[in-house]
Amino acid sequence: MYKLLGYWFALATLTVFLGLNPTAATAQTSDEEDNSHDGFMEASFAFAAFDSRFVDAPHHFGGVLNLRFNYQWKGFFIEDKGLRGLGLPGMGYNFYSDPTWSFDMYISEVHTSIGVDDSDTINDEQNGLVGINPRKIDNRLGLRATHYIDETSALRVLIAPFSDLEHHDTHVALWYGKTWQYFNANFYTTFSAQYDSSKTLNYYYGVSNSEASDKFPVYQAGSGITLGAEFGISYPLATDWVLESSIKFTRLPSSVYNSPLVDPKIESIAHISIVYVLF
Amino acid sequence: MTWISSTLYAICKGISLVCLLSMNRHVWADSTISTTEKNQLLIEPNTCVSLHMNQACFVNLKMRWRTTKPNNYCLYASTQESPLKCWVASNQGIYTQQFTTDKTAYFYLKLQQNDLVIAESELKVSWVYKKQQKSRLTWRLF
Repeated sequence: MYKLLGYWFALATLTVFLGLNPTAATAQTSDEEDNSHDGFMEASFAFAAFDSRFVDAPHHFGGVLNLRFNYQWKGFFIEDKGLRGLGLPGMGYNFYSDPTWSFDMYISEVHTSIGVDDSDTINDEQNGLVGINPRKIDNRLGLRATHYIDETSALRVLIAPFSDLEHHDTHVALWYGKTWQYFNANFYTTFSAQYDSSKTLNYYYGVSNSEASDKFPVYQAGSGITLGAEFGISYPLATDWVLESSIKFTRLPSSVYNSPLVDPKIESIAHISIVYVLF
Repeated sequence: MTWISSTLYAICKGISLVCLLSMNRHVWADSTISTTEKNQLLIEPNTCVSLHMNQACFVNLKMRWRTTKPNNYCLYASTQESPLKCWVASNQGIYTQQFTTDKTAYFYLKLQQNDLVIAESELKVSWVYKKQQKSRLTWRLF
C-alpha cells in the first residue's frame, strides 16, 4: 500500500507541476459546483442478503450500518461507497474535468484478501477456506476515465497496472450506468466487465501444491472476465431521507468458478436501506 | 467490503440519533393554511421532495377551501393560466389532482367575477441532493 501511495504522490505532484489540474479544464458547466472543496456524506442502515462466491460460505442476511462519503479538495478526492464498494476507500487525484470527460489517478482495492485473519469480509464468508494460504489485498493504482454521455448516463474505464502484490498484471474494468426517473422514484442500472490476467486470478483462486488437500485439489486459474449487473431504486422520503434498494449479480469467469475455493458461478447481493443524507 | 466495525457502528449510532430527531421535524411540518380573514385554502401536502435538484416533483395534491360567503369561485395554479376548477354559489370545495412541478407553485382561490384573490397557498419543492454534481451521478452509479 505504501509503495502505491508513493507512486500516487509522485504522479500527482508531477501532474500538478505540469499544470494538469481540474481548473485547467476550460469548459466547466455553469451549474457545476466549484470543484475546489466539496463533498457529501450519507449514513445508511441496510437489510442485506448476500450469496458469497466462496465455497461453504453461509448465506448471509442481516442488518448493516455503513457510512458513505465523497470529499474533494483541489482535485484530490477520497470516496467510500459502503455496501457498493470494497474495503478501503478509493482515493485519487482528478487532473482533468470538463462537462463530458473526467480523468483521475485512482487508488482502490480491486480484490479483497483471502484467508487473512483480518480479512474485510461479509459475515463468515471465508470460513470454508480453512487450510488455504492467505492472499493479500490487491490495492491498485491506475488511470480512471469517465465519459458523461448525457445528464443521466456515464461510461467509466479503469486501467490499473500498478499493484503492491508481486504476482499481478494490469486490471482493466469497464462500467456503464444509467439513471432515470419515474414519478419521484429514481432508478439506476449498471453493467460492468472486469478483466484480470491468469497471474492475478491464479494468485487468488489457484491452489498450489503446498496447500492442496482433499477439499482443495491443485488448481491453476487462467485469465477471465467478471461480468456484473445491478439494478436499483432510490425514493426520497423527506429532504434528508432516502429509501434505497438494489440487487446486484456478479457472473464469475470459468477460471474462478471452477476453483476449489469457489462454489457458485454467480455471486449476488440485495439490500433495502434507509439512508440519511448528512450533506 | 466494509461491514460493521466498532468505530463505524459508534459513528452511525450517533448519527442515527441526530437523524431521528431531524426526521420528526419533517414529519410534523406537513401542512399550512393560508388565510385571508376567514377565507381558507389548504393544500396537502405542502412540500414535495424529489431526489435531485431541478428534477420534476410529483405529488397528489388535495386542496380544500372555505369562504365566509357563497359565491362563484375558481381555483388557480401559478403554473397555468386557466382555472383548475370553478364552483358556482359555493362557500367550500375540495379538489384533488396529481401535480408536477420543479419549483415552488402557488395556488389561488379567486372570485370568478373579478379575479380577486380570496385565499392562497403554496407548494414548496425541495431536493435531497441540493447540488448538481457530476461526481454525485457517477458515485451513485458506480
